[in-house]
Amino acid sequence: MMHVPGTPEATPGLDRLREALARADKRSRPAADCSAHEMIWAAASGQLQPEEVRELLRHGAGCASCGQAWRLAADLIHASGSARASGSHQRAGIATAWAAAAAILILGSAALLLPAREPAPDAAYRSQGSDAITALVPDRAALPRAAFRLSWSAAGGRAHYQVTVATADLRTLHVSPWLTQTEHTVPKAKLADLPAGLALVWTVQTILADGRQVASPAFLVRLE
Amino acid sequence: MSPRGTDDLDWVRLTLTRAVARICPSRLAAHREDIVQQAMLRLVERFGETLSRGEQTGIRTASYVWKAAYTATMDEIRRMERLREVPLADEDPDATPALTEVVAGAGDDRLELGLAIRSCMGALSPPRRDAVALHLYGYSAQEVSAMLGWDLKRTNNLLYRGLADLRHCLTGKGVRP
Repeated sequence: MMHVPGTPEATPGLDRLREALARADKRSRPAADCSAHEMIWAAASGQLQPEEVRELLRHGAGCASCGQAWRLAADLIHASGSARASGSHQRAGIATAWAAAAAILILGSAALLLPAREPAPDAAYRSQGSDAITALVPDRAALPRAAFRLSWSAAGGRAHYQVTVATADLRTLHVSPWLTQTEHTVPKAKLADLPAGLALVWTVQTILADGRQVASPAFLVRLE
Repeated sequence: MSPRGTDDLDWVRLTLTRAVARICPSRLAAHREDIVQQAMLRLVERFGETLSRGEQTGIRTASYVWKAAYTATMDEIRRMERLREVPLADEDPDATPALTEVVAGAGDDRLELGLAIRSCMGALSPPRRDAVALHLYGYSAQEVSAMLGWDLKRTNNLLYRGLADLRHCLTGKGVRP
């Protein structure tokens, strides 16, 4: 942010205070559970009433991740404003692209659950070699909703797993808690309203004992 | 897919990648691609629902894409925090990253200052505290003014006085502001 003389931004040492507070937030244990970041974005975007902003700030006094959320929102909104000012912001016709993407998904492709075509050098470690996660449920097997049990190969060591189940158009139906076992049964209630024969996509996110994160390929099953 | 569609999807992914690279904490650098992917999925999912209702999509500006990047990044931060917050039964709680990080931070004067700022903020009057908090999070006086519904003159006044109170409190705690 540019510091204009005669404004609070020009106060000596302000950057040091900002940096120190950010560091304290990063080092703190998080609040029990907080999902205020959507509201924080709304506040930073000028969509909340002042009293709502004050309420958020009162909540944020005891919430380290809220401090991060405020900072991230400020950074992106400032960058977004710069882009708008430079004229690169407006993009008409995006609907075409999303229509095409949605069409792909409706056809049942799970391609967008897979890693990007050209992962960045620091991309998350992907499932390969001895750590590769493979489904132990046959591909496209029909599973009963009363016993929708998914299982997969172990990654070795003290790995933790999280299973995500979604429809073919990528509507998330269920995300498991972090597990140490290599199987998980999706609660019947999560599948209750779905038609028989529906194709479902499932993936396993793994955190290995050494901290690396492994994403499995997307697997397909059907609802019996 | 039309060439235009391909271009636009490439643009969305590029915008998301830039936004995530900008805000993603360094400790989550290995997760950046996953965060971009999650943001892409959200946008596709939301657009698909809009399409099925025969409505125009709301995705027409970069700001919407940036919000998706923000939300996906915050979700990942929260997810990783939950992981370190609730050690599983077979883990040694003394070895959780939170504790090792705190130990590693001992003697860090910036950390000490940050913790003291938090403590001192609680002692400020509510209007000064709100103004200073937003300002320390990176918002300008004009932005604070707009968010809290005050005119700029009052906002500047609260910021000057609030920052002075904060420094006074920090000095009283023996911390160099």
